[in-house]
Amino acid sequence: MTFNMKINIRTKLLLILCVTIMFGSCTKEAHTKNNSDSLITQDSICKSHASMNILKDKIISEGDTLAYLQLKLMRNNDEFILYSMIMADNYHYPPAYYDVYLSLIRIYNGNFKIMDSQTKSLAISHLKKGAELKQAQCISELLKPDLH
Amino acid sequence: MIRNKKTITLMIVAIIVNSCTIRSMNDSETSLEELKRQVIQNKDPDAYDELLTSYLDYDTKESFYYSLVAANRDNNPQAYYDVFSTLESLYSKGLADMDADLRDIAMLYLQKSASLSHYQATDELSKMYIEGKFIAQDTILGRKLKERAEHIYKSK
Repeated sequence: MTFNMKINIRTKLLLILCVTIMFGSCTKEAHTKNNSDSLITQDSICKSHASMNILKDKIISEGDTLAYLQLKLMRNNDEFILYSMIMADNYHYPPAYYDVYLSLIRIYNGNFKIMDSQTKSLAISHLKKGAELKQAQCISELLKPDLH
Repeated sequence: MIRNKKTITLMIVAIIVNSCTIRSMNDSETSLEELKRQVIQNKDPDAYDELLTSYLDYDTKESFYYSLVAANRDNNPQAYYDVFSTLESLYSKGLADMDADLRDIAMLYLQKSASLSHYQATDELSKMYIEGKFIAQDTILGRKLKERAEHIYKSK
């Protein structure tokens, strides 16, 4: 085997190695894409996390209603309840009282008959406080007969 | 020839490392989601403790919802304390920085945790009673709680 041939084989093998590593990273990236059910990249996930953290900080420290609404749009799942409680109980933002109520009753799929007494009491106290601040959804929910 | 073998070995190692990383990413995400589901569906009483362990690397704010569920529904003393400590940790001056409504919720969860013989909750509540911080001062009750906290600690 000549010296040139040896170099060629080594170059080819190194190329294959690089392709393997690149394939691996692409697969990881594709995995992340599948999990977030969208075509966003890892970079944009990091940016989205960073912007969510900014919004959370604004909610906690200033009771920023715009940040609250933005976070609600980005992450309106049950884990959002902490921010609803902060906006309601610390900053008295009327719509947040209804959001706390909704998150709490969702634990029991809205079934008050099987709901534990503490969750029920926390949910209803938030409805009542929201209603005191003339929050329309809280008022209409309180009028429902199955609540009592 | 030996160099070729080395390169091939290196390639195989790279492939194995890649596939292992992908699998471990899958496994950890699946187990976290599974634990969350178990806490919500109340299928496994130990699921909350396991979930907390999984959340150790995260901010406690992330697990607040599950703490609230495990506290209210399952009367879990640790979960009551976790609700309190998450709320307390929101602000640099803790409860002092909070509006009375949010502070009342935090205090309610601390008291419930202490009533279920949670060591940290009992100890913190005793200090509050002794100092008259966020609660009407009652040094006798504070000392009693302190003794109780020591007893809980020893009996662990």
